Amino acid sequence: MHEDSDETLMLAYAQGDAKAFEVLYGRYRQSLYGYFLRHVSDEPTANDLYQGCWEKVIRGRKRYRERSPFRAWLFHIAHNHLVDHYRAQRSTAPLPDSLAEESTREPPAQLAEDDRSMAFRAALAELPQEQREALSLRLDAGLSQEEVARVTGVGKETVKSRLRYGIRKLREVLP
Amino acid sequence: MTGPGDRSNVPSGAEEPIPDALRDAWCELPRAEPPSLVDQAVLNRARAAVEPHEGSKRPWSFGWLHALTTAAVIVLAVTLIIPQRESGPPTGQDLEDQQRLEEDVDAPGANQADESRELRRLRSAPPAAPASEAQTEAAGLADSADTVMEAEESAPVRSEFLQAERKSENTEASQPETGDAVASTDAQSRLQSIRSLLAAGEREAAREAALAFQRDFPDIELPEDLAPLLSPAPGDPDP
Repeated sequence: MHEDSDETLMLAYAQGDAKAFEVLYGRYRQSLYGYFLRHVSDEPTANDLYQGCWEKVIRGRKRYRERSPFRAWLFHIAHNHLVDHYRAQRSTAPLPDSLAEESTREPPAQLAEDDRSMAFRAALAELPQEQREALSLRLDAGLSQEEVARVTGVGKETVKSRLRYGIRKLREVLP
Repeated sequence: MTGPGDRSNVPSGAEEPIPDALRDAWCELPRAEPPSLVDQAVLNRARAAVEPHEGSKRPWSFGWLHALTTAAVIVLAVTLIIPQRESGPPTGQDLEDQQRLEEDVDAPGANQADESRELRRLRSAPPAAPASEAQTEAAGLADSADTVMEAEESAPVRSEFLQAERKSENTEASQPETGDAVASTDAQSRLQSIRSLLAAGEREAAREAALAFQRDFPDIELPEDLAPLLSPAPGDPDP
Protein backbone atom coordinates (compact mmCIF):
# COMPACT_ATOMS: atom_id res chain seq x y z
CA MET A 1 0.00 0.00 0.00
CA HIS A 2 1.31 3.43 -0.91
CA GLU A 3 2.31 5.49 2.08
CA ASP A 4 2.23 9.26 1.89
CA SER A 5 5.46 11.04 2.68
CA ASP A 6 5.69 13.26 5.73
CA GLU A 7 5.93 16.29 3.48
CA THR A 8 2.77 15.35 1.57
CA LEU A 9 0.89 14.82 4.81
CA MET A 10 2.01 18.13 6.24
CA LEU A 11 0.94 19.98 3.11
CA ALA A 12 -2.39 18.16 3.19
CA TYR A 13 -2.87 19.20 6.78
CA ALA A 14 -2.03 22.78 5.93
CA GLN A 15 -4.87 22.60 3.42
CA GLY A 16 -7.30 21.41 6.06
CA ASP A 17 -6.95 17.63 6.12
CA ALA A 18 -7.01 16.78 9.83
CA LYS A 19 -6.59 13.06 9.10
CA ALA A 20 -3.23 13.77 7.53
CA PHE A 21 -2.11 15.35 10.76
CA GLU A 22 -3.18 12.29 12.72
CA VAL A 23 -0.98 10.07 10.57
CA LEU A 24 1.92 12.46 10.88
CA TYR A 25 1.42 12.73 14.60
CA GLY A 26 1.46 8.96 14.92
CA ARG A 27 4.76 8.81 13.12
CA TYR A 28 6.53 11.32 15.33
CA ARG A 29 4.87 11.26 18.70
CA GLN A 30 7.32 8.85 20.25
CA SER A 31 10.53 10.24 18.80
CA LEU A 32 9.57 13.81 19.61
CA TYR A 33 8.51 12.93 23.12
CA GLY A 34 11.72 10.96 23.59
CA TYR A 35 13.69 13.97 22.41
CA PHE A 36 12.18 16.21 25.07
CA LEU A 37 12.37 13.59 27.76
CA ARG A 38 16.11 13.21 27.24
CA HIS A 39 16.61 16.89 27.95
CA VAL A 40 14.39 17.60 30.91
CA SER A 41 14.32 15.56 34.03
CA ASP A 42 10.65 15.65 34.85
CA GLU A 43 7.75 14.32 32.89
CA PRO A 44 5.35 17.27 33.35
CA THR A 45 7.90 19.63 31.81
CA ALA A 46 8.45 17.19 28.95
CA ASN A 47 4.68 17.07 28.45
CA ASP A 48 4.48 20.86 28.33
CA LEU A 49 7.36 21.13 25.90
CA TYR A 50 5.99 18.37 23.72
CA GLN A 51 2.52 19.91 23.58
CA GLY A 52 3.93 23.38 23.01
CA CYS A 53 6.05 22.14 20.15
CA TRP A 54 3.06 20.58 18.38
CA GLU A 55 1.17 23.79 19.01
CA LYS A 56 3.87 25.63 17.08
CA VAL A 57 3.67 23.08 14.28
CA ILE A 58 -0.09 23.54 14.08
CA ARG A 59 0.14 27.29 14.12
CA GLY A 60 2.93 27.31 11.55
CA ARG A 61 1.28 24.80 9.21
CA LYS A 62 0.70 27.29 6.44
CA ARG A 63 4.30 28.37 6.46
CA TYR A 64 5.61 24.89 5.88
CA ARG A 65 7.25 24.39 2.49
CA GLU A 66 7.77 21.00 0.90
CA ARG A 67 11.39 21.66 0.04
CA SER A 68 12.21 21.45 3.70
CA PRO A 69 12.13 17.85 4.98
CA PHE A 70 9.37 17.62 7.55
CA ARG A 71 11.50 15.67 10.01
CA ALA A 72 14.18 18.36 10.08
CA TRP A 73 11.57 21.11 10.21
CA LEU A 74 9.80 19.49 13.16
CA PHE A 75 12.97 18.95 15.15
CA HIS A 76 14.16 22.43 14.33
CA ILE A 77 11.03 23.77 15.97
CA ALA A 78 11.57 21.34 18.84
CA HIS A 79 15.16 22.51 19.29
CA ASN A 80 14.13 26.18 19.33
CA HIS A 81 11.34 25.40 21.74
CA LEU A 82 13.82 23.70 24.04
CA VAL A 83 16.24 26.61 23.80
CA ASP A 84 13.40 28.98 24.72
CA HIS A 85 12.69 26.77 27.70
CA TYR A 86 16.30 26.90 28.84
CA ARG A 87 16.39 30.63 28.37
CA ALA A 88 13.29 31.01 30.49
CA GLN A 89 14.94 28.95 33.20
CA ARG A 90 18.41 30.32 32.74
CA SER A 91 19.04 30.75 36.45
CA THR A 92 18.31 27.12 37.28
CA ALA A 93 19.24 25.30 34.09
CA PRO A 94 21.90 27.22 32.23
CA LEU A 95 22.36 26.45 28.58
CA PRO A 96 26.01 25.55 28.20
CA ASP A 97 27.71 27.41 25.40
CA SER A 98 31.16 25.96 25.57
CA LEU A 99 32.63 22.56 25.02
CA ALA A 100 35.54 23.36 27.32
CA GLU A 101 34.23 21.42 30.27
CA GLU A 102 33.08 18.46 28.25
CA SER A 103 36.32 16.54 28.34
CA THR A 104 36.67 16.95 32.09
CA ARG A 105 33.51 15.12 33.02
CA GLU A 106 33.64 11.47 33.77
CA PRO A 107 30.91 8.88 33.46
CA PRO A 108 29.55 7.76 36.78
CA ALA A 109 32.05 5.10 37.73
CA GLN A 110 30.35 4.29 40.97
CA LEU A 111 27.50 2.48 39.28
CA ALA A 112 27.49 -1.26 39.36
CA GLU A 113 29.28 -2.67 36.35
CA ASP A 114 26.76 -5.39 35.73
CA ASP A 115 23.92 -2.96 35.30
CA ARG A 116 24.89 -1.72 31.87
CA SER A 117 21.57 -0.28 31.04
CA MET A 118 21.43 1.83 34.15
CA ALA A 119 25.00 2.91 33.65
CA PHE A 120 24.25 3.86 30.10
CA ARG A 121 21.27 5.95 31.11
CA ALA A 122 23.24 7.63 33.84
CA ALA A 123 26.09 8.37 31.47
CA LEU A 124 23.68 9.79 28.97
CA ALA A 125 22.14 12.01 31.60
CA GLU A 126 25.62 13.21 32.53
CA LEU A 127 26.47 14.28 29.01
CA PRO A 128 26.56 18.00 28.30
CA GLN A 129 23.33 19.18 26.77
CA GLU A 130 24.79 19.77 23.29
CA GLN A 131 26.28 16.30 23.04
CA ARG A 132 23.11 14.68 24.29
CA GLU A 133 21.08 16.70 21.82
CA ALA A 134 23.34 15.83 18.91
CA LEU A 135 23.02 12.15 19.75
CA SER A 136 19.29 12.42 20.31
CA LEU A 137 18.75 14.17 17.00
CA ARG A 138 20.79 11.50 15.26
CA LEU A 139 19.35 8.48 17.00
CA ASP A 140 15.87 9.52 18.15
CA ALA A 141 14.97 11.83 15.30
CA GLY A 142 17.01 10.07 12.64
CA LEU A 143 18.52 13.27 11.29
CA SER A 144 21.70 13.27 9.27
CA GLN A 145 24.76 15.03 10.63
CA GLU A 146 24.14 17.89 8.25
CA GLU A 147 20.55 18.21 9.39
CA VAL A 148 21.64 18.19 13.01
CA ALA A 149 24.00 21.04 12.18
CA ARG A 150 21.21 22.97 10.53
CA VAL A 151 18.75 22.36 13.33
CA THR A 152 21.14 23.33 16.09
CA GLY A 153 22.63 26.22 14.16
CA VAL A 154 26.25 25.11 14.30
CA GLY A 155 28.75 23.84 11.76
CA LYS A 156 29.01 20.24 10.67
CA GLU A 157 32.43 19.94 12.26
CA THR A 158 31.04 21.08 15.57
CA VAL A 159 28.32 18.47 15.36
CA LYS A 160 30.90 15.88 14.50
CA SER A 161 32.99 16.81 17.50
CA ARG A 162 29.96 16.77 19.79
CA LEU A 163 29.07 13.34 18.57
CA ARG A 164 32.62 12.14 18.94
CA TYR A 165 32.90 13.32 22.55
CA GLY A 166 29.48 11.97 23.41
CA ILE A 167 30.14 8.61 21.83
CA ARG A 168 33.50 8.35 23.56
CA LYS A 169 31.94 8.87 26.97
CA LEU A 170 29.06 6.52 26.37
CA ARG A 171 31.39 3.83 25.12
CA GLU A 172 33.07 3.75 28.49
CA VAL A 173 29.96 2.21 30.00
CA LEU A 174 29.28 -0.11 27.08
CA PRO A 175 30.57 -3.69 26.94
CA MET B 1 5.22 4.75 14.37
CA THR B 2 8.84 5.52 14.85
CA GLY B 3 10.75 5.76 18.03
CA PRO B 4 14.00 5.23 19.76
CA GLY B 5 13.80 1.55 19.13
CA ASP B 6 13.09 1.88 15.46
CA ARG B 7 16.29 1.14 13.61
CA SER B 8 14.98 2.41 10.31
CA ASN B 9 15.15 5.80 11.94
CA VAL B 10 18.87 5.63 12.44
CA PRO B 11 20.73 6.94 9.46
CA SER B 12 23.78 5.07 8.42
CA GLY B 13 26.42 6.89 6.50
CA ALA B 14 30.02 7.85 6.34
CA GLU B 15 29.66 10.60 8.86
CA GLU B 16 30.77 10.31 12.46
CA PRO B 17 30.31 6.56 12.86
CA ILE B 18 28.05 5.42 15.66
CA PRO B 19 29.17 2.10 17.11
CA ASP B 20 26.69 -0.76 16.94
CA ALA B 21 26.91 -1.28 20.68
CA LEU B 22 25.82 2.29 21.24
CA ARG B 23 22.98 1.96 18.76
CA ASP B 24 21.85 -1.19 20.56
CA ALA B 25 22.05 0.45 23.96
CA TRP B 26 20.18 3.46 22.63
CA CYS B 27 17.46 1.26 21.22
CA GLU B 28 17.13 -0.47 24.56
CA LEU B 29 16.43 2.79 26.39
CA PRO B 30 12.93 2.88 27.86
CA ARG B 31 10.50 3.85 25.14
CA ALA B 32 8.66 6.81 26.48
CA GLU B 33 5.27 7.72 25.17
CA PRO B 34 3.31 10.89 25.73
CA PRO B 35 0.30 10.49 28.03
CA SER B 36 -2.91 9.79 26.17
CA LEU B 37 -4.45 12.99 27.50
CA VAL B 38 -1.66 14.96 25.88
CA ASP B 39 -2.17 13.02 22.64
CA GLN B 40 -5.84 13.84 22.75
CA ALA B 41 -5.23 17.50 23.49
CA VAL B 42 -2.82 17.85 20.57
CA LEU B 43 -5.12 16.05 18.15
CA ASN B 44 -8.14 18.06 19.27
CA ARG B 45 -6.17 21.23 18.84
CA ALA B 46 -5.02 20.16 15.38
CA ARG B 47 -8.58 19.36 14.32
CA ALA B 48 -9.96 22.58 15.72
CA ALA B 49 -7.33 24.58 13.85
CA VAL B 50 -8.54 23.37 10.46
CA GLU B 51 -12.22 22.91 11.25
CA PRO B 52 -14.48 25.15 9.22
CA HIS B 53 -16.52 27.70 11.11
CA GLU B 54 -19.92 26.62 12.34
CA GLY B 55 -21.69 28.79 9.83
CA SER B 56 -19.94 27.33 6.81
CA LYS B 57 -20.12 23.78 8.18
CA ARG B 58 -23.90 23.66 8.41
CA PRO B 59 -25.16 26.39 6.17
CA TRP B 60 -28.61 24.89 6.04
CA SER B 61 -29.29 24.14 9.68
CA PHE B 62 -30.21 27.46 11.26
CA GLY B 63 -30.33 29.72 8.27
CA TRP B 64 -34.07 30.11 8.45
CA LEU B 65 -33.86 30.88 12.14
CA HIS B 66 -31.40 33.69 11.54
CA ALA B 67 -33.60 35.15 8.85
CA LEU B 68 -36.67 34.90 11.09
CA THR B 69 -34.86 36.50 14.02
CA THR B 70 -33.59 39.35 11.87
CA ALA B 71 -37.04 39.99 10.47
CA ALA B 72 -38.58 39.92 13.95
CA VAL B 73 -36.01 42.39 15.28
CA ILE B 74 -36.64 44.77 12.38
CA VAL B 75 -40.41 44.63 12.80
CA LEU B 76 -40.11 45.15 16.54
CA ALA B 77 -37.76 48.09 16.09
CA VAL B 78 -40.04 49.72 13.56
CA THR B 79 -43.15 49.25 15.67
CA LEU B 80 -41.44 50.70 18.73
CA ILE B 81 -39.51 53.56 17.20
CA ILE B 82 -42.06 55.05 14.77
CA PRO B 83 -44.92 55.55 17.27
CA GLN B 84 -42.49 56.97 19.81
CA ARG B 85 -41.09 59.48 17.34
CA GLU B 86 -44.61 60.54 16.49
CA SER B 87 -45.58 60.94 20.14
CA GLY B 88 -43.81 64.30 20.53
CA PRO B 89 -40.54 65.83 21.67
CA PRO B 90 -38.39 63.96 24.17
CA THR B 91 -38.72 64.69 27.85
CA GLY B 92 -36.04 66.36 29.94
CA GLN B 93 -34.88 63.05 31.28
CA ASP B 94 -34.52 61.70 27.75
CA LEU B 95 -32.44 64.64 26.68
CA GLU B 96 -30.24 64.22 29.71
CA ASP B 97 -29.75 60.54 28.96
CA GLN B 98 -28.95 61.31 25.36
CA GLN B 99 -26.46 63.97 26.38
CA ARG B 100 -24.75 61.63 28.81
CA LEU B 101 -24.47 58.99 26.13
CA GLU B 102 -22.89 61.47 23.74
CA GLU B 103 -20.44 62.54 26.46
CA ASP B 104 -19.47 58.93 26.94
CA VAL B 105 -18.84 58.57 23.23
CA ASP B 106 -16.75 61.75 23.21
CA ALA B 107 -14.64 60.46 26.09
CA PRO B 108 -12.93 57.32 24.80
CA GLY B 109 -11.11 56.72 28.08
CA ALA B 110 -14.34 56.52 30.03
CA ASN B 111 -14.63 53.59 32.34
CA GLN B 112 -16.35 50.68 30.64
CA ALA B 113 -18.01 49.59 33.83
CA ASP B 114 -19.68 52.97 34.18
CA GLU B 115 -20.78 52.76 30.59
CA SER B 116 -22.20 49.31 31.13
CA ARG B 117 -24.12 50.45 34.21
CA GLU B 118 -25.42 53.42 32.30
CA LEU B 119 -26.57 51.21 29.45
CA ARG B 120 -28.33 48.86 31.83
CA ARG B 121 -30.11 51.81 33.43
CA LEU B 122 -31.23 53.02 30.05
CA ARG B 123 -32.46 49.56 29.10
CA SER B 124 -34.52 49.33 32.27
CA ALA B 125 -36.18 52.70 31.57
CA PRO B 126 -39.96 52.56 30.98
CA PRO B 127 -41.01 51.89 27.41
CA ALA B 128 -42.61 55.32 27.17
CA ALA B 129 -39.16 56.80 26.82
CA PRO B 130 -38.31 57.32 23.15
CA ALA B 131 -35.60 54.97 21.94
CA SER B 132 -32.95 56.71 19.98
CA GLU B 133 -30.79 54.80 17.56
CA ALA B 134 -27.84 55.13 19.89
CA GLN B 135 -29.86 53.62 22.72
CA THR B 136 -31.02 50.72 20.60
CA GLU B 137 -27.45 49.93 19.59
CA ALA B 138 -26.21 50.34 23.11
CA ALA B 139 -28.86 47.98 24.43
CA GLY B 140 -27.84 45.38 21.90
CA LEU B 141 -24.24 45.69 22.95
CA ALA B 142 -25.09 45.36 26.59
CA ASP B 143 -27.18 42.30 25.84
CA SER B 144 -24.32 40.54 24.15
CA ALA B 145 -21.94 41.53 26.91
CA ASP B 146 -24.34 40.13 29.51
CA THR B 147 -24.73 36.90 27.58
CA VAL B 148 -21.00 36.40 27.36
CA MET B 149 -20.53 37.20 31.03
CA GLU B 150 -23.29 34.81 32.06
CA ALA B 151 -21.93 32.06 29.87
CA GLU B 152 -18.48 32.49 31.29
CA GLU B 153 -19.66 32.55 34.86
CA SER B 154 -21.72 29.41 34.46
CA ALA B 155 -19.09 27.39 32.59
CA PRO B 156 -18.09 24.58 34.93
CA VAL B 157 -14.49 23.53 35.29
CA ARG B 158 -14.75 19.77 35.02
CA SER B 159 -11.20 18.53 35.16
CA GLU B 160 -7.59 19.44 34.77
CA PHE B 161 -7.67 18.19 31.23
CA LEU B 162 -10.52 20.44 30.31
CA GLN B 163 -8.68 23.31 31.89
CA ALA B 164 -5.65 22.51 29.81
CA GLU B 165 -7.76 22.35 26.68
CA ARG B 166 -9.41 25.61 27.52
CA LYS B 167 -6.02 27.16 28.14
CA SER B 168 -4.92 25.92 24.76
CA GLU B 169 -7.99 27.42 23.12
CA ASN B 170 -7.45 30.68 24.94
CA THR B 171 -3.90 30.69 23.77
CA GLU B 172 -5.07 30.25 20.21
CA ALA B 173 -7.56 33.06 20.62
CA SER B 174 -5.24 35.48 22.31
CA GLN B 175 -1.94 34.82 20.62
CA PRO B 176 -2.67 36.63 17.40
CA GLU B 177 -2.96 39.75 19.54
CA THR B 178 -0.17 39.08 22.03
CA GLY B 179 2.32 36.28 21.44
CA ASP B 180 2.18 36.43 17.69
CA ALA B 181 2.32 40.15 17.72
CA VAL B 182 5.46 40.07 19.82
CA ALA B 183 7.03 37.33 17.71
CA SER B 184 6.00 39.11 14.55
CA THR B 185 7.44 42.41 15.74
CA ASP B 186 10.65 40.67 16.69
CA ALA B 187 10.85 38.94 13.30
CA GLN B 188 10.08 42.16 11.46
CA SER B 189 12.74 44.08 13.29
CA ARG B 190 15.25 41.32 12.59
CA LEU B 191 14.38 41.41 8.89
CA GLN B 192 14.71 45.16 8.90
CA SER B 193 18.17 44.98 10.39
CA ILE B 194 19.21 42.43 7.75
CA ARG B 195 18.03 44.81 5.05
CA SER B 196 20.00 47.62 6.68
CA LEU B 197 23.15 45.51 6.64
CA LEU B 198 22.57 44.68 3.01
CA ALA B 199 22.02 48.32 2.14
CA ALA B 200 25.26 49.20 3.92
CA GLY B 201 27.10 46.71 1.71
CA GLU B 202 27.84 44.30 4.54
CA ARG B 203 26.74 41.23 2.67
CA GLU B 204 28.53 38.70 4.84
CA ALA B 205 27.06 40.14 8.01
CA ALA B 206 23.66 40.20 6.36
CA ARG B 207 24.07 36.57 5.41
CA GLU B 208 24.99 35.67 8.98
CA ALA B 209 21.98 37.55 10.23
CA ALA B 210 19.75 35.83 7.68
CA LEU B 211 21.06 32.45 8.79
CA ALA B 212 20.40 33.35 12.39
CA PHE B 213 16.91 34.48 11.46
CA GLN B 214 16.19 31.23 9.71
CA ARG B 215 17.45 29.37 12.72
CA ASP B 216 15.34 31.35 15.15
CA PHE B 217 12.18 31.39 13.07
CA PRO B 218 12.05 28.12 11.13
CA ASP B 219 8.38 28.51 10.43
CA ILE B 220 8.74 31.97 8.92
CA GLU B 221 9.75 32.21 5.30
CA LEU B 222 12.59 34.59 4.50
CA PRO B 223 11.22 37.35 2.20
CA GLU B 224 12.10 37.10 -1.46
CA ASP B 225 14.43 40.08 -1.39
CA LEU B 226 16.56 38.41 1.30
CA ALA B 227 16.34 34.80 0.15
CA PRO B 228 19.35 35.08 -2.23
CA LEU B 229 21.53 35.69 0.82
CA LEU B 230 21.19 32.04 1.76
CA SER B 231 21.95 30.56 -1.61
CA PRO B 232 25.59 29.52 -1.66
CA ALA B 233 27.80 31.82 -3.66
CA PRO B 234 30.21 30.16 -6.13
CA GLY B 235 33.38 29.19 -4.35
CA ASP B 236 31.79 29.26 -0.93
CA PRO B 237 32.79 26.45 1.42
CA ASP B 238 30.08 24.12 2.63
CA PRO B 239 27.53 26.33 4.42
